[in-house]
Amino acid sequence: MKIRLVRSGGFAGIRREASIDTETLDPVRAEELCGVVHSAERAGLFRRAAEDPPKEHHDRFCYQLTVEDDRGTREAQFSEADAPETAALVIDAVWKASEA
Amino acid sequence: MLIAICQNGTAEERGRALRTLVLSERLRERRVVLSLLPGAAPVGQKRRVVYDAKHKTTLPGTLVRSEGDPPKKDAAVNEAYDGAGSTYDLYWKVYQRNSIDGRGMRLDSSVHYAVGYDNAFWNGNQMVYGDGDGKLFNRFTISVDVIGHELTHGVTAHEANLDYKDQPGALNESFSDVFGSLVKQRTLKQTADKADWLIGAGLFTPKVQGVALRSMRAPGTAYDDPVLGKDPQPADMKGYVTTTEDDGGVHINSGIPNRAFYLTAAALGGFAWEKAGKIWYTALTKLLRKDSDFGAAARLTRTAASDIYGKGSAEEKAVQGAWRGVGVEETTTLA
Repeated sequence: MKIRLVRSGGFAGIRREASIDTETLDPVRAEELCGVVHSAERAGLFRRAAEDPPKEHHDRFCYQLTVEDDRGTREAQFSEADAPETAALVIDAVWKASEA
Repeated sequence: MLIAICQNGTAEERGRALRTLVLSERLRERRVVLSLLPGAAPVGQKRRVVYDAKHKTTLPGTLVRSEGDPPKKDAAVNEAYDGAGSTYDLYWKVYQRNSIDGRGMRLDSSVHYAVGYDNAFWNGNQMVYGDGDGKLFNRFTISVDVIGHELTHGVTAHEANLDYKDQPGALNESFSDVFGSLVKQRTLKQTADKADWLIGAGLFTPKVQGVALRSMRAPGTAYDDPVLGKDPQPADMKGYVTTTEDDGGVHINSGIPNRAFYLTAAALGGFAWEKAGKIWYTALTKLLRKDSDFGAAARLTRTAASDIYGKGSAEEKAVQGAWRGVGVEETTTLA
């Protein structure tokens, strides 16, 4: 699975990006990361319509998540201000994997 | 009708009706009426409270300091308290505005939000500050202009209510930087030529190659670091960035109106909050609308200067020259 996460906005306005190919990770970590992404997917993360950001969004982070595997490419965009809990878990897991 | 509910309804009805009124774009015309309603705070008196979120994301957290309490041992608590006070003072003493909503709204802040959180934000009701990760960012209360920036988002929401997207969004961000910087300049009693015109000075740890997050005088020059990259702000319209990220580059293209404000203040000299600040404040509170773009801001800040200082005045010319200096042409539409 290939995962790309882009964070933009926030008070600092500094962009952060991570691209991960789970095949390059150690198997345990790869399985964990894929598991988190699949849970988010089951919770409907990629079915969310590209809506306008929520009203109370000033200086919050904007996220763009792209996942690619044998089932195709899926993309989600969301604000930190109304990100579903499953998305927050994906974000944490991706940053951790990219720092490892 | 909403006003009648506010005056005569049950507590729950009053609360709901008042919130609706406050959200209304027509608030400006109703401020006089609102100020007559029960619950309005005494004029010119600060009301501040600071909470400790204790590294969780549940707001507001535990109350740690209220108005009039002596300083605490926690620097973030004291900075949030003092910064909210300095911001209140700028708006009240210079622009005769009683707090964020113009009617004495209590200023609530939460510090120590989440773990290693590299951000600060305004959630519609209060300010929220992270501690930073400690590697690249220090705590976000360290810089008073960050505090003025967040509170100004509240002011803007009650006034022009600029859409947080594309050019109106970049203007929304820019007004926050402008008044954030003015809070700092007034605190330090600096004239326009002595001010650093930086946003977020002190936020970076010594490991980062940069002086601040943004420079209003020279957008694009605040940092250039191997990890964080280079300050992406354009200094004029030639560098305008079209992007779907960051709500259409609101934290990027704000460099253009930021520099227009700096150029106005530099041309007028003296304390920037007195003339340039007054012109921008008047445009924000009386003239701009939610969908105003850079061209509208150019026209309406010039209109504000002309209204306050006279047609053809040095102030009006300074505003006109500043927007020309950043390559923004006035638009003649009513937006």
